[in-house]
Amino acid sequence: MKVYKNKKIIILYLAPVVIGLAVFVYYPLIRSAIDSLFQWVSFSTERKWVGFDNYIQIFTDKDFFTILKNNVLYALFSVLCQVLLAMVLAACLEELFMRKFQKFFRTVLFLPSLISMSVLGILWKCIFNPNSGLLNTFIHAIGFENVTPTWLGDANIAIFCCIFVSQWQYTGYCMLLDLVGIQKIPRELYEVAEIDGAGAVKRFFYVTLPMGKESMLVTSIITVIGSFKIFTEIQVMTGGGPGRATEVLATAMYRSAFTNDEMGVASAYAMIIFVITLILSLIQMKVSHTGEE
Amino acid sequence: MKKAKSYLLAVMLMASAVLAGCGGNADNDSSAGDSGQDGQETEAPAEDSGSETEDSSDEQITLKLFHNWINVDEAPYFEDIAAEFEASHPNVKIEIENVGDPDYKSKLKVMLGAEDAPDIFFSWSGEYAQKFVRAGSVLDLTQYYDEDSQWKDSFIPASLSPFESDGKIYGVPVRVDCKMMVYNKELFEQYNVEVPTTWDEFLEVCQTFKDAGLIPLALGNQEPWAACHYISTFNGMMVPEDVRAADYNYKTGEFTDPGYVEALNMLKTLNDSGYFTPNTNAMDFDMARNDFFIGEAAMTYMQAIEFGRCEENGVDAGVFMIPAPDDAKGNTNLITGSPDGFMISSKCEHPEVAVEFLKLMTSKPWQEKMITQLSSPAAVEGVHNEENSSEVTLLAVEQMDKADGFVNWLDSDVHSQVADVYVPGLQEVIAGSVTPEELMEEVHTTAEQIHTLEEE
Repeated sequence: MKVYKNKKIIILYLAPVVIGLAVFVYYPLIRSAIDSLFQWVSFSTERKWVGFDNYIQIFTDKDFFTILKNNVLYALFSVLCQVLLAMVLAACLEELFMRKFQKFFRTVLFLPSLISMSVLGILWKCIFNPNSGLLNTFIHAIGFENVTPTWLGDANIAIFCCIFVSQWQYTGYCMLLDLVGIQKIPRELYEVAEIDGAGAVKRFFYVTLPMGKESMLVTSIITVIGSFKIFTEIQVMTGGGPGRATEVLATAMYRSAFTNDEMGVASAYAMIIFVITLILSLIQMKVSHTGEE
Repeated sequence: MKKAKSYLLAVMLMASAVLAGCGGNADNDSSAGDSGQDGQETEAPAEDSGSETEDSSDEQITLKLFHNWINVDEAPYFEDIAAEFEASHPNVKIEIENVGDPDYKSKLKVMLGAEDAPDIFFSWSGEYAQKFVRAGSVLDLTQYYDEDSQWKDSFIPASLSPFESDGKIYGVPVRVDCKMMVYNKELFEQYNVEVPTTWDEFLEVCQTFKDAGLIPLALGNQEPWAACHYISTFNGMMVPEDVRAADYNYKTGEFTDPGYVEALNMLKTLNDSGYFTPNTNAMDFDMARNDFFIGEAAMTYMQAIEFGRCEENGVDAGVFMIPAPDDAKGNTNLITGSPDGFMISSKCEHPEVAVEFLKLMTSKPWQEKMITQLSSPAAVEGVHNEENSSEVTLLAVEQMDKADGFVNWLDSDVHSQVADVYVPGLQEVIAGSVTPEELMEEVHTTAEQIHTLEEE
């Protein structure tokens, strides 16, 4: 092909992508790295060089541990539900006796991920409402009249409520991805396993899991990285409260930028989020050997 | 085949031209922004561009107005003013943009730093406005006030001072807002309760309603600015005025006066005695507020700009000021609230036109219209009467006249980093996970850190 030898055409073809990446990915990235070393506010052009002070401020913040812990909790539960539970659910739906109802369950489980998170956040806020919410009304109705958890108002429980809502929303979505993966597994493998006397559980562990590894890897990369970028759920449901109990990296970044007028600190938070997600994706790529095949 | 190839090439060319165009633009914008601000923008003084417009009155002028009234009954108010202004100034075009609160607070900050900063924008007074003054983003309006003393004198005196800095005035107040305890008259009659005049009586009134199985004080504190309004009031009562003024100033803030802890204890008393909406930290502000409108709650602490909602919901409401405890060391004749108004960007090229526009907005007819259409108390004197204002609004206006001055909202009156510790901390104080002493210690530490930061 002559096209491959024509340098001009190669440049022409690559230009849109390269320019797009440069302007929308690399320039902002380098810019925030530089910005994180200054003390500045959005409404003034004055900036003061502070070196790594912004990072020191973040790492010595007494709430930084809580913030990081919340993100790690998010990641843990997301892997449990969106990777493992989703796979189990997908395998169940693929079982012969479930095939008849598969369409129904698939739709039901997938539906939540179609609704905007902001809408869901408000919806769940109402459900968690301790005085008139659905959840406490239900608890009281089944006889536990003296049990009144305050859910989003309780510093110890609030983060788990937020995590639950995310899992509720996205488990069905990941399940669908896994389902597609399972459907690609050759039927013969299952037949052979069955002839060898493997039950449903064994078939799951010895056929579905090894063969569905790829799709689980994809979902685990998406969910773990997503967990460190989580923002909407928290912002809508608790705004980081009560106190700072449900603060995560992204809400802390937002708070520094737009309520505290510390754009430098916000840029530093952005860099921290970037470094964490970069390391995580490098590890995952290494483990999975993606790109080698 | 050849033709197909050249078509393909043409399409690719177009696509890349479009993409490159976008990319190039974005690049240009940001670099222009940087150099522009160093060069012409900051230098261009107000008079310079002012004289330019005077001799060319038919030059097309566009003014950008940015405000935060998004409600369908309220937003047209500004369109109407703009229309009237454009009719009398044919060469002026007013472009209006509006965003709801609290997004407005953050969007404004970003817009002021950008090239297309709004010329005229709504702002709260106090520290929120002061930081724009410090950054040089807003125009000093003193000369315009001095040129037109009649205009200056039309305002309620207390409404200008929160926009002042070093003797210069930076804003034009359009409304005054204050916080008062609103009560349900029917419930007060039914339970034979009188309006309390002392703190102890106030607590008794709360207890009466609690015993009756009603919510004494509707409060949803999921977003902690709600409790922050109580603390604004309590701080005003409990802390000597000069001490509080020094503390709220980011240069001298200490927050070591015992009055602050007492104020937090008052909040805690109200919560721990069960006078607030149960589980207040988990309750949405509006949801809790609705308990008042449906008669499940006897009282709620409400802003004057919201008084109209009582009537809308058919509640026969009365108002009173929360009475101060007997041992209060602060000024007990202050009212919690502040004037809100408009400021003009220092980048505005036609400040005299912008001032004229604001003069129209603060003229009597438009201020009267604001009372009815935006149900906000006016910032100019002598426009409220029984026809255009409800009984509660008139009472609020009367209280504001009687008061020695305003206690501004704590969250917009202290440095934003202090507020960031103080305000969410109120949730923890209410929940009991942090004691009032601990919170004030933390606020004190933060205030000290800001001294060192700003001094450098």
